[in-house]
This record gives sequence, structure tokens and C-alpha cells, in this order.
Amino acid sequence: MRVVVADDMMLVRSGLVRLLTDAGVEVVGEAADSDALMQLVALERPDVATVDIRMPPTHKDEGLIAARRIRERYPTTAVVVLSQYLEARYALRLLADQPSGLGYLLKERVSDIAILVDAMRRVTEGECVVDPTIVYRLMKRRRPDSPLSHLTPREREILALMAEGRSNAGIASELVVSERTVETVCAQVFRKLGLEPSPDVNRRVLAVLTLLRS
Amino acid sequence: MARSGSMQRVWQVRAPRVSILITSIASGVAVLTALVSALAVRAGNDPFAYAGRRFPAWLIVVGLTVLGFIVAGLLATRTRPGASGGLAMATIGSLLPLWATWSWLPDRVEAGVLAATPFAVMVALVTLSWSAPGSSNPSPAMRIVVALVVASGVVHLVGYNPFADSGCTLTCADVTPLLDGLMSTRSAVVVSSSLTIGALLAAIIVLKDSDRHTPRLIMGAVIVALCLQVVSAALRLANWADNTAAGLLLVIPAVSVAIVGIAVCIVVARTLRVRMAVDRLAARLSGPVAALSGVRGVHFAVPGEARWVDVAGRDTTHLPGQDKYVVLSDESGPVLRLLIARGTDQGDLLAALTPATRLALQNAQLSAVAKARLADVQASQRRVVAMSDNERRRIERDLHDGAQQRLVSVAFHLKVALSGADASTAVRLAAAEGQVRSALGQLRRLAHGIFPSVLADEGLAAALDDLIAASDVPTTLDVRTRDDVGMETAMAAYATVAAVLNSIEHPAPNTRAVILVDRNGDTLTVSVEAEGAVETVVAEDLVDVADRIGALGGRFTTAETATGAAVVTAVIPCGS
Repeated sequence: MRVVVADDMMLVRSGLVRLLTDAGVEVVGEAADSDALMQLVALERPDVATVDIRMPPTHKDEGLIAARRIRERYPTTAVVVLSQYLEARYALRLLADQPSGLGYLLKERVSDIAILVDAMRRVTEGECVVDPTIVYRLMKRRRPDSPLSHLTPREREILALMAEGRSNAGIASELVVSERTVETVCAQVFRKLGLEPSPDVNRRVLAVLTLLRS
Repeated sequence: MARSGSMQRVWQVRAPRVSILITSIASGVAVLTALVSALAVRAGNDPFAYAGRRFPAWLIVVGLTVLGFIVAGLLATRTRPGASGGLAMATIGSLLPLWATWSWLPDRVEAGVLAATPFAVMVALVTLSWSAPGSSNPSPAMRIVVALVVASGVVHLVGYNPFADSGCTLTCADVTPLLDGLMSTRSAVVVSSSLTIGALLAAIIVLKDSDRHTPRLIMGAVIVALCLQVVSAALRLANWADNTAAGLLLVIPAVSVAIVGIAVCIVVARTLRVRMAVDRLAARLSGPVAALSGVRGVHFAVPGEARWVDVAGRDTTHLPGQDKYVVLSDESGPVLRLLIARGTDQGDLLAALTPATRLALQNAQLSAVAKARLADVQASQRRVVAMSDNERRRIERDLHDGAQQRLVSVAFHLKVALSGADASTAVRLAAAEGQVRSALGQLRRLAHGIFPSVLADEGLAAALDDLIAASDVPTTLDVRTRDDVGMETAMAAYATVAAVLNSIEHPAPNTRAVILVDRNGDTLTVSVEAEGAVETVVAEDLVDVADRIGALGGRFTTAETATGAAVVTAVIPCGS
């Protein structure tokens, strides 16, 4: 897996590169701002770009803009945005239109490098990954007329794990149930959310999107 | 409190009863004259057929003048008691020559009428000009005019010799003049005319010195009237024996009095109009000041400050020229200024201010100043809130971009170190990393509490969404507007919801909250209904929020529903 890392803070960037390298990921380039990132991606065509949400010049949401631009121009490159914001709104903005191949993780979670590497692998497979903390907050919300209000607790639980980017096998081991049970519940979730049958990855992405928008 | 330039004028309103009496007498005389004339004409003794000449035009002039004077006199009793006396005298003065033409009257009366006519005219002129607004404190030159005019009338009255008068030769058979032997009528006319010329010159000086519109109008009319008198005397002296000319000259007193009378009527009507305008202004001060005839608006002085505010307490930007407003002051300084319309006289305006109107204007000043001060306080409150928000935002950014980033990098490097460490070091490193991670969590909560960046970046709906997502209270959110209501308003709405949700520290199983945000015109209404947590929602926790909303000019209320739920409602004006 070929990866580029973009973060304006050198210490963070180097720490991240070191962690990724140690985990056996090939880091092919580093960038300190979104312009450098775009050039790097154009040059290297990596499998994944890891992008900090706040970068120069305004330190607001350059990372989100860069992520969407990369997905538009270089569809073979997936993007994981690393953020310090818990607010789901930023995740929604990133994933709203076309969530596949995108991930949104809280930065400090990355120090458990396995989570990042797992998320990178999933986004290269076209899924989308949302940080568990944010998923938890999303699940707590109650809105009138939300399609989520029709889900049972078990269905919500599985949807949350889905949003975190877990596979059916991963969900099954987490909940200590059979993979077949997970598949059945997933089908129910898709039906209740009004998602037509289509390739599994797509439906999973759409279900997460429904959760974000709810 | 009236002050205009350096002169202070206060018009004392006299009892109008006297003026009504005078006007009534004048009206009586006019009606009697008309009746007698009608009877005489009916009996074939037409006074206007006198000496074979008819003057229907004179009749019309006199009739209209008399009617006008009576109406104006009655009107004038409201504002100018002196004017009604002058008008009455003018009426009588212009009617007197009529009586001189009736042969059935005793000769003595006829001669007396002819002798008294110039006197009555002069007194009418004096009274009329005296009654003009702003002339109650006349200049020395004006006093000379008045004295000369009266002297001229007196000389004619006492020096009149009916036998020497071509107008009286046919009728005044057995009348002896008062000063017979001392002065001939011709000399009396000469002396009287000289005095009139003196008065005319003095009047021109008064007119030249006068800088105000109203006295100029009256003085101009007086000068024209005096000129007519002089011309009349000159014509008489030139054609002493000609009866034809004498009959014609009887018209001149009526015309000269009419000119001054009309001038006074114009001034009185204008004063009335201005007074009505001021009254309407005072009555409308609670609402927007419409354009009124005479007065265009009013500005109020803020005591102790060199600024003027309008009725609503807003600073006035429009600064008219010096001659376009009248400043009213009391002992503490200027109180207000009335913006006057083109052609309105300052004296008229001041004369039109009744005590009630002044009181209303003073009250309006108090309320306008109170509003202005309230707006000042609110603006300063707003600045304080905005400043604190900006500062909080800066701190939040610093925490995110500085401390948090550094902690993240420390966590990364600890992790790197961990991979190459021996077992005992690894345990300590892992503990340290755990500490750093929890510090990061705390830091994020702290930064978020200082300033919700999502509110600035994504808007109110998104910020509220995340707020309830972070809360332990099951909450229903209904945001019915997606408009940009302005940062200050959004911040206040956010703070309201945050304060209520935060005040519920330990939610019970049945605790629920319902949030409704809706825009209604220029205000944003935020209502938070918290059920099952009444005792925890207390006003003290919400003081900061109430202050914030108050600074924006909004309202913040707490109430309790019949079911025991606490309802917090904030109505906040929308910003830009």
C-alpha cells in the first residue's frame, strides 16, 4: 500500500510517517500544505492520502477541500482525513456527496496505528470509515422523522459498527454472533433505511451516509 | 425654556374674553352700518349716489374687508388678543366715512365722523402692528413710529374744520371746529401729514433693522398704509375745493387699513398653522415624526453631551443650517431643536408653543434621551460580548493548532518509542501514552467549551446538532430555519440551548428535551422544553445567557408548563 502524508506540523507528520513505516506501510511522500499535497498525489498516484483537516493558510477545512479534490481527480487514490474535531458536521461535509473511498478519523486515535492501517485498507476497497466516537455521538441523536428511529437497538449497534468500517466478520467477532446473523441484520437495516439491493459495499456506504445525515 | 438666538420671548396669553367683546362690538358696528345702508338705499336715499357719483367698487372693498376683519378677529382671539382689537378698530375706521355721507344725521355727528376717521385709521394701524407676533417688546424706533402715527391722528381730530373741508361743506352747516381760530383744517392736514411722513421714515428704519420675517411683513404693510395716507393728504391739499376728489379720497383710509389688516391676518393664520403643526408633532412624538407644515421634525439634546438624537433615540446625522432650526433651552442647556420648514418664521414657531406643547416636548426629550442611553448601554454590552467571543475563538484556535497538535505528536512519538522499547519501559511508555490520550480528550472538550468552532464554520443548525449529540439528555431538535441569522444571534441561540442542556447534570430516565428554533420576521425564537428535570433548570444558571440575549436587545424567559416541564424561551433579533 503506497501512502502520502499531509500535515502542516512537522512533528506530527514525522511521527505519523514513522508509525506507518513501522507498521509496514510504504510512505511515498510528505506534504505540509494542500498545494504540495495535490502535486504529490499527481506525481505519485498513491493508494491512500492521509490528510490533516487543518492546514495553511486558514487552518480551517483545507483538508476537506483537498480530500474531495483528490477523489474527483484521482479516483484510484483513497483519502483518510485526520481531524481534531468531534463534530459530525465536518465528517458529513466530507462524505456527503460521494462517501466511498473516504475516511474520517480523529487524529489521536491514529496513535493506535492498527486502526489507521485498517481504515486505509478499507477505503482503498471503496468503503467509507467514520471514527467510532463520532458514530457513537451520531447514534445518540434523536430527530423527529429520522429513518434511524425505526431501527432496533441491535440494528443500530450493527449500523454503528458498519460506519466504523468493520466488515461483517469484524462485526460478528465484536458482538460474538455468527457472521450469518450479522448478514441478516444488515439486510434488515438496509431495508428499513430504504436502500435498494446493490453491491454490498455500496449499500454499506449508503447506510453510513444515512446515519450521518439523520 | 424658549430661546432663539440671544433673545428670549415668552408670549403671555391674555384672557380672550376682552378680545371677544371688542370683536363683537366691531361686528355690531359693521352689521348696523350694513343695515342702515340697506334701509337708506331702500328709502331712496342712496349714500353712494352722493353728488351724483356711484362707487360700487368701494362698497365691495369695504364689505369684503369688514367681513374678513370680523372672521380674522374671531380667529385671532385664540392666538393674538391684540390683533382682534386692532382688527375691530380697523373695521370701525374703514366704516366711519360711510356715516359721513348720510344727510339725515345731525351735522355735528357727520363732522365728528369725518374728523375721527384719520384718527381711527391711525389707531387701527398702531394696534394692528403692535399685535404682530414678536412685537410686544418694540424697539425705540418702533415706539417713535407709533407716537408719530397717534400724534398725526390726534392733530387731525382736533384741528378739523368742517367748513374748510370740501367733503363737509354741503352738510356740516352749524358745526364749530374744536381749535377754531387756532388752526385751519388745511394746516391741520399739513401738520398731520408731516407727522405721518415722520412716522413713515421711522418705520422704514425699523424695517431696515428688522431681521425677522414677521415684523418685516407687518412693517411693510404699515409703510404702504402710511404712504397712502400721505398721498391722500397731498391729493386733498392739491384739490382743496374739488368735491369729486374728496369723495374718492374717502376710499383711501379703508384701503390702507385693509392692507395692514391683511398682513396681520396672514401672520395670524401662519401662527395658527404653526401651532397646529407643533401640536400635531407633540401628539405624534410617540411614533415617527411625519413631515408637518411649519415643523419638519425635532431633535433632542442629550444632557452633558454634544449630540442630538431623534424621537427613537437614534443619533441624528442630518445637520441643517443655522437658520433652519430653533433651539429651545432651559437653565441646564439646550433641550431640543425644532427643524423648521421653509418660510416658517422662528417667532411664529415660538409663539405657537403652548405650555402643554412644551411639556409634551420636554417629556419626549426625556424619553428620547432614555432610549439613546439605553442604546448606548446595549451597544457597549454587545461590544463586550463580541470581544469576549473573539477572544474565546482565538483561544480555541490556539488550543487546536498549538497544544492539541503537540500532544498528538507526543502520542505518536511515544508510540514509536514503544515499538523499540524493552518490556519494563514499554509499560511506562504505554501508561504515558494513555495519559496523553486522555489529556487530548480533555483538551478537546475544553476547546469546544470555549468556543464551538462548528458554529462559526457550519452554522447554527449543525452546531445545535452536535451539541445535542454530545449531551446525555435525549433531545429532539427541530430547526425550522436555515437562514444566516448573524454570528451574534447564532451564538446567543447556541448559548441558550447549551446552558439548558448543561444545567441538567444528572438526567433522570424520564428526562427529555425538545428544542425548537424558528425565525419569525426579524427575530429568531429558540425554545427549549426540558421535561423531568425541572428542579435542575434554575434561572441562576442562565444569567449569562440572559445577559448575552439582553445585549442583543432580545428577550429571555423561563416558564413552567402545566405538566411540570421547564420552558426556556429566547427571542433574539437577527443580525446581518
